[in-house]
Amino acid sequence: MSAHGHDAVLALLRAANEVDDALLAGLLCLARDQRRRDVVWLTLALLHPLLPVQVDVERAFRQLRLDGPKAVLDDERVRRTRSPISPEPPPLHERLVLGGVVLDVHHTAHHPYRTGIQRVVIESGRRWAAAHPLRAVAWTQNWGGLRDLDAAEHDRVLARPGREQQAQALVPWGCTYVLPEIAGDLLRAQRLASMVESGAVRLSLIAYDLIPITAAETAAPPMPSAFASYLGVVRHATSVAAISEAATTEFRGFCDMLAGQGVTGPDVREVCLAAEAVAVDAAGVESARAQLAVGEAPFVLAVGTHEPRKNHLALLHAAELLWREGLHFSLVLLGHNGWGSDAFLALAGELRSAGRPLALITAASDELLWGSYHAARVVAFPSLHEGFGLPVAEALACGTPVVTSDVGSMGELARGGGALAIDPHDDHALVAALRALLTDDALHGRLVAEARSRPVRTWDDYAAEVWQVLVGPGA
Amino acid sequence: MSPWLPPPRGTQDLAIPPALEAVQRRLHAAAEPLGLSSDALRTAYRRSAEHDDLTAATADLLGHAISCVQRLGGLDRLWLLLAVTHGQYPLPDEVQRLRRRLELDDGLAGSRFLLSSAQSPVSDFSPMTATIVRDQVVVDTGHTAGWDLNTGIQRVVREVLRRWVPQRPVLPVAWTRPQSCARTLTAAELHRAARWGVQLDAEATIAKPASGGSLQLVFPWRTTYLLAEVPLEPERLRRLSALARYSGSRVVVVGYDLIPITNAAAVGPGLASSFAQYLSAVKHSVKVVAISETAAAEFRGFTRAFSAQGLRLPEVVTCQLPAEPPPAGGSGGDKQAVVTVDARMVLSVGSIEVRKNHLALLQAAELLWREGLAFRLQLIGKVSLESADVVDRIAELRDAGRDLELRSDVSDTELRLAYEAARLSVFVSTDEGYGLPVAESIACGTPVVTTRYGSTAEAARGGGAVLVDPHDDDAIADAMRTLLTRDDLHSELVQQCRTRASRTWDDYAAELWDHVLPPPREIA
Repeated sequence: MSAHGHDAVLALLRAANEVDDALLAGLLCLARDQRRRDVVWLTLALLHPLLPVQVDVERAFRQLRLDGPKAVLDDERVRRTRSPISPEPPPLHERLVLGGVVLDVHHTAHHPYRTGIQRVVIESGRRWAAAHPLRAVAWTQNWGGLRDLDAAEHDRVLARPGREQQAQALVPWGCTYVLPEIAGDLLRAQRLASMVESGAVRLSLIAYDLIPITAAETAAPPMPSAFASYLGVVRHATSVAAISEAATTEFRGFCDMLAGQGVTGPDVREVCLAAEAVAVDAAGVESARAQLAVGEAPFVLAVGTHEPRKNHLALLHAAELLWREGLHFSLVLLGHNGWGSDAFLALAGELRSAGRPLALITAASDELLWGSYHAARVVAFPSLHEGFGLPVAEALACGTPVVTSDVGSMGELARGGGALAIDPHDDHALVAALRALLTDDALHGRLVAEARSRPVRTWDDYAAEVWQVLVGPGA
Repeated sequence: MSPWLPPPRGTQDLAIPPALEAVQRRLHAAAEPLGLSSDALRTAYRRSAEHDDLTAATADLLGHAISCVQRLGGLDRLWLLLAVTHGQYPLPDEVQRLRRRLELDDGLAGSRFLLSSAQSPVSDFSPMTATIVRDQVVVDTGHTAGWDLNTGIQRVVREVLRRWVPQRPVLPVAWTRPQSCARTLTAAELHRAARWGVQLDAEATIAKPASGGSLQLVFPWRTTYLLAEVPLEPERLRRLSALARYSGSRVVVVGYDLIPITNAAAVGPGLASSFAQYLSAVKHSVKVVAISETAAAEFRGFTRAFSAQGLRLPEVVTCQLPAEPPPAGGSGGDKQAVVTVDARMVLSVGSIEVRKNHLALLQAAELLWREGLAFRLQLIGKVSLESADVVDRIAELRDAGRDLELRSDVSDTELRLAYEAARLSVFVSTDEGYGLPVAESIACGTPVVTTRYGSTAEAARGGGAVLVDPHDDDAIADAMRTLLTRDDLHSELVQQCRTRASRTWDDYAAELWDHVLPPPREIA
């Protein structure tokens, strides 16, 4: 958008005290004269209780061209009366967010459980909030519009007090909108896409993986559809920070997939996630060992949801082959039962009935998780595909050797030392790597040393680099 | 069809349960690739017929098959063994589960495992016999053979099969009812798939197999399987994916577009989940033959997106669809038919849906009507469920007295006449894998205003088109105005249309065959 046009809009907004005819007509005249969809979006967002979707913007834009501002305003007022009853919006100047950075942390604010994505949102969000001015927002009910976080949410997500006055019906315009979550809910995606497509805001986001599309066989059936809604937002983004080289490749591939639409998609940059270990004292490690190990035998640890993509069937098979060889070790799996875990649970049951030392822990505390990373002889993570592979990074940060896949992001992590990388489709390679780490103390010691000498990538590093990519040096 | 093994002497009146007999017959059909001995087959049949323990006889035969497969090795043999035993293509995890099971247990336990999984309620024994295909190209016509619809995709399959079936070693197949296995076609299905539009002969009106005998399950093994449709049934897709990974057959895919993923809002987001399952099968194909360079670029993007999974990536090539006028009815008479061009008619062909951007076209038309330009706008296309906005706008404009018409059920002949009669056509879709209406319009000698990027720009490359930004209503109006009012420019474009070399279905079918066949080194 032109600086001149931008200033004219700001002048109109500053001169107004409320959303009245003078302001709306002024905005629409400007939108007509300069053919500005972003100003049409702004007008509709101010007028209606729900943020617009793109068909609304296009319809008003076309009507503006044919019949002028008054006709648009009259029609939109009729539409306004058909909208659901909504509370009176706050005064104009409390609603407007003009310029600066808007940070959308809806899911993280709403859902207390901690997924890998929420962890990234919290770790980076807290650092950004401490270093830069930003406005943290969530969505109102049914994805109608944006609001400030309340005090409790603000404290929980960003670890600092929020605004004294929390406004509803926020209208961001001319901002950089940072989306560190996946917005797969249809209405959230549609309203967000319109905000960006019309040019009202510039969108930057963190990209995790494209698994629901590139490995749909490993995703629960409704996932790809929700994810495709999210991709409808991603295609309009300006900057994307992808969490690994593999995720970068995936999202650049997605941009290539847009060839038929005459757009090039966002600029995708790699910003590798952080991997900081949580320190555990000797008692914590001993407690984890006491809970998980069988006698003095070493244990192999696997962390992750039981779903087909994690390849836990191969891991159970490999363990059984090693037990048949007479190796003494136990296998501990920390993770919830996910989609498609039936075959895994059936096989695990068979092995346990046969007396194999196999433990399934579905709810582990943070203490037990970090204690077990330290106490394990080796961490096995032979997943078929990941955006990052957090357990690999975490185990290595704890100085524990890892057996993982030689593909994608796991291959990247393994190249930094401390891991054996294998073809996840080759059970015998997995067997050989586990056998080596269970029986060869010299190899084990070498990998421990390698793991310990890996440079630590901190959340401070990560948050600062992502900010550079998403917001730039100016803000 | 001759019996596969004569029943032992004196036992002709004894019958063995058809389901178990079918398992034995299918194993017999697969005897050579699985390395089964004829002694073992004969013994099993004799024991079954003499009412020895049927299950034990079949289990012993399966035990023999397992030891053969273990001796010879290869996941493709495991896939075939599972497939013929169950009478359906295995799911991906079934192949791995059997492989791991055999690694841990002896053959007897393995054969019990095979039998018990075959007898589970979800995978009942199929009574059908089998044909193992090793030297023909299996062509999946599940939708085309089964339905009278004639969408763009079905048209491609039919035009290709019409040319291949008489001359090339191909076997068109459909799928069994629960979408678990491919089978041979009935005469009616073969007619629908390969002789569409030809007068139906009496033979084809009955549901008897096209090749005589009874319908058979088809097991492609170390051959080529062509997926020229876009199936969306999850069951069929999961089994196809396993076929692509384990059967030793090369799966070749005709790639149309990735719109359900890249532009989900335009087609309804529900489609994305099924389409993503389709991509899971495409991922394990050896080659994607894309219908345009744009579609090829999209599919290359997809292969790049999954390249981080360490799989062998399919090769992506382009085999451009043809640009022929819609087929004219009757036989050859159309050459004499002289259509008078209506200097006032603007035509737009394409289903009424968001992505086709009719609202932009209607806006452009209204701008021109308001300028006082006299012309008639004719829209030809099926109305989709999600197109209420367009239908409302058409009604508004008609109420306002605009010369505007929407036709939804139009034969190929009428369509061709409409193209030939129009002064120009407009096709400003925002997202296309090919853009058939652009190619057809040009082939009919009618200049077209179309989208300046993607496959429509490709189709326009040889001349006869004006390219516009589909998001700029005024640019569309400008191009329409020029073609309506400037006779000199219009004639120049008509001339360009007429002098273009036109690509035919014969060209396409011949080129596609070259892409489908394995390169010489693969044959060896």
